[in-house]
Amino acid sequence: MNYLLLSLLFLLSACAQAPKIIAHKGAVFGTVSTEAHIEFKQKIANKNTAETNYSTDENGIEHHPDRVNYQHLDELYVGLIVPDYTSQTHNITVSSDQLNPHSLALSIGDTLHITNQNTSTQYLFISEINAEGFQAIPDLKAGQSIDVRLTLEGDLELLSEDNHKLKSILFSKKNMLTKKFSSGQRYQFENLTPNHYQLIFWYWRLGKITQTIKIDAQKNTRVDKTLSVNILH
Amino acid sequence: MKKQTLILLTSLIYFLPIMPLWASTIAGNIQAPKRVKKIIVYLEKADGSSTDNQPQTHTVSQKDTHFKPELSIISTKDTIEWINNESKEIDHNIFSLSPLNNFDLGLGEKGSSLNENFDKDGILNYYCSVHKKMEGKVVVLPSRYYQVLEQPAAFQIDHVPAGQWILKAIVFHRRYKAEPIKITLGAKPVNNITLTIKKR
Repeated sequence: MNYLLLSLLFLLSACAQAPKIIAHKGAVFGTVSTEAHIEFKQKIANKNTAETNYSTDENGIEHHPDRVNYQHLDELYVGLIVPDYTSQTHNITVSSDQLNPHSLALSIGDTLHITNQNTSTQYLFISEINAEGFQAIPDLKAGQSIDVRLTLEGDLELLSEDNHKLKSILFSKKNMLTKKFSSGQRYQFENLTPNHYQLIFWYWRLGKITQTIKIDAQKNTRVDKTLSVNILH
Repeated sequence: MKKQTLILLTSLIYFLPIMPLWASTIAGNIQAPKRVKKIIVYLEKADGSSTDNQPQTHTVSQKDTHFKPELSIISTKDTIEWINNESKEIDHNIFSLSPLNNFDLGLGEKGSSLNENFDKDGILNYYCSVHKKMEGKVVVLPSRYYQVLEQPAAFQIDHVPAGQWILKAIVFHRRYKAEPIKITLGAKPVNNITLTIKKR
């Protein structure tokens, strides 16, 4: 009886993970996660290590406040390049010591809805990280919002003229529909016309992984991906 | 005697374009808005060729889970050596995803050192994958003829070989950009150059 119940639960969870099948359409889904450097993981796995810096709890790593907690990273983005893209709007808030979100994946042509929660006017701009490209943003008065259409593509930064703490890292690509997740969460893009698509996984500190996928009618394609420094090897 | 003189003159004419006979000074002033702070004024050969730098090694310490210094200014062909100077048993990793030079140097224990060579000029950010506040920046310059200014001020670059140069500046405030100046340097110093930094 217990086995039957367990099997039923397993079947139910498996069904819940896959997107709903739509006639003549397909979907892609999976889990996006991040993990620590492989050498760091190996060191933690070595229980005989004498180093007091490496202590573990029942869940794995005991995380010090100054360490990157790869099991709980936010702002992981999954992007899908779609031919029939409709521009999206993304909210950004400006406070006294940060821009929220800290990172944002979006499409060229998308709108940034920027709200100034400060008591002073903000002078923001967008700059390419590895090139000279630049986009000016009109002055944003205290308490006001502004809509800015992104004209740059690639690795970018949204910056402030007079407060270096205000920084948001942007990754922009043409026709890229994006969704934001936390490490270990499930993503999905459904109702897709059968074709080949580009799927992009990005975290600002760990770079991006691009994969071409084939979407078939009445089928769900599963792509799980882990972002790590190890992608450099 | 006439033949010897002729050989000497021919040799001089032949080697003149490739041998800098003099080294001199390029000096001037930076004109920039008040918001502009740190600047690196540097010289690049006008024909884009590299200068004959003797490779150097620069040290960055990893201490109290920070890179010290956080900014390294080096020249092409130079190496950076990261030394783990932590007082406790703390490991660090060094990696960069920059298109200029992407690398992962692995994990370095207390007392260890890790090295990376830089061949292309440009700016790159690097991180420790273990510690979230450990970020560093490397500025790789095309020559060793440069000066770092904490704010717009007078500058002076000495011992510059004669030839055609372009005076440029790296402005850390990305809203602003320097306008490069082409300079021909001979035996005499070139003074009173004004390098203008403007809003992009």
